[in-house]
Amino acid sequence: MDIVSVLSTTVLVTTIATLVMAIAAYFAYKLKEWRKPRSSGGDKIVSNEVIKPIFLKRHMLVDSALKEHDVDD
Amino acid sequence: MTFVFSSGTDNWYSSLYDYISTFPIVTTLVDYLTIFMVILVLRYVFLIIFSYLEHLDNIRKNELQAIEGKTTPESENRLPFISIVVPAYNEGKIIQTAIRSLFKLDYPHFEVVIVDDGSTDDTYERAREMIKESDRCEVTVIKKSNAGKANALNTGMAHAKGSFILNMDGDTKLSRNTLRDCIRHFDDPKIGAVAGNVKVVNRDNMITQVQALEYVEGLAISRKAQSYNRIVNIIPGPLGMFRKSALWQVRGYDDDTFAEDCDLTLKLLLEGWHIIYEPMAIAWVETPSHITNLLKQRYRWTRGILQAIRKHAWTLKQPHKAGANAIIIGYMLFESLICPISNVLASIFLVWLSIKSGVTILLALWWLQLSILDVMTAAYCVIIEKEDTMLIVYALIFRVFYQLLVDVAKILASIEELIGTKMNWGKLEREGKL
Repeated sequence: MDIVSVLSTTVLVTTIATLVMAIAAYFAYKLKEWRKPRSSGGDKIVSNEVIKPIFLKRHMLVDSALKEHDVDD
Repeated sequence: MTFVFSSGTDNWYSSLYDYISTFPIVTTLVDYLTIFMVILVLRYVFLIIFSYLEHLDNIRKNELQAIEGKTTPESENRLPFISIVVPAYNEGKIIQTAIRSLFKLDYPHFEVVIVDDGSTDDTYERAREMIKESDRCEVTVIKKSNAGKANALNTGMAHAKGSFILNMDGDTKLSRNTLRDCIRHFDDPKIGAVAGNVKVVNRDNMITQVQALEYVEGLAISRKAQSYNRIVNIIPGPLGMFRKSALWQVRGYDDDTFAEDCDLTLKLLLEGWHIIYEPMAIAWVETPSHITNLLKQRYRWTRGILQAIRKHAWTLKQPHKAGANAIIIGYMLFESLICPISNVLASIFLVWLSIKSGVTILLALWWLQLSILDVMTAAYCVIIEKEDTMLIVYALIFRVFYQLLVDVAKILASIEELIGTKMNWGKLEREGKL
């Protein structure tokens, strides 16, 4: 085999291997996510929920939000 | 069908052309890929031209500042007060390093607001310990129940006293000159935000080295080109400085996407604020060192960006603004969806054609032309950014391995976004290498 053939074959094999690895890694990640306990820690599911806009209402923090926050200066 | 691994040195082109001509869909695909390649090359050319102009502009500004910028006590007093907001969720391993980097910042008046977003580790305790260490600035630590990064940032910003706010991540270390280099741009009242330069700190394996190259290229070319036109399309989470009035105008961060930084940037741009990039303000970050973590990160980014695009698509119907908005949103769509689809499609098609026709050289030529482009681009970026020259070597595997890997994840994430699959934030584990 000449150098061009070696290069061509290497690129072909690498491309196929990467495509397979990408799909396998993706499904491995999805499987890991699926197995994880749903109620754990701080992961927050947002998609498909009713989105409640939370934002900068500075005055809100003074009356309601500050009560639940433990503020240390 | 004869299956031969062959470079087809004897008139392979005409035999392949004859073979391709027998399939109408294949000829269509070849035409599409040719057009895509031309667009890709043009994209590189335009980005490099604009980024180089921006680079020259930066040199000119820095020279001007060096001449005029002698600091006096009066000039130091005139500098505006800046609030640094640091949201943190389970960043116990590195929160102290990140905060210590803030104490070393070269700026006379600033405060640090740390928001512990309901961490389950010792982030809060470790952050509180830093209050005693600070003799440079006021440090505020806020503990709240977990409600996501957007909410944590908004809480921090609501407590911020400065007219300018620097938002960063809890796993980020800033360069000493960050505040000075960012704040100087706000002399222009049209500037709503300044995006910082993000660099990879944990360059200890192939995956992180290639990401380092990706960051260097993305910032030195795309971000600089966007900055020249004042339409930087993502203010990165690790480092972005904002005019408080601009943030208040767009009501800060929303929590309805998984890319709150992209969403906020779009809101600012669509409101007419200018956003630029400051290459001297550097945030050092840890990047994923394993493939699954990398895919997890890109999965979230892709879905987040698509959510942000979909959320703001209505602005395309706005009278008088539709053209400008279409450029901003169209460019993001091209980068996040069209490019990955075309790249993966090209690879699958060329693999299929190689196996089917037995002529493998076509795939090698596709890789070669893109790799020449990648290596030249990498060399340009490494020189401009004064980066490690070894990064250029990684440009050779960038296209055939890394880009393909990430693009497959982007496509699968896009499909999931399209069909509305539920997702969670997917917090990355830190190694504490900051």
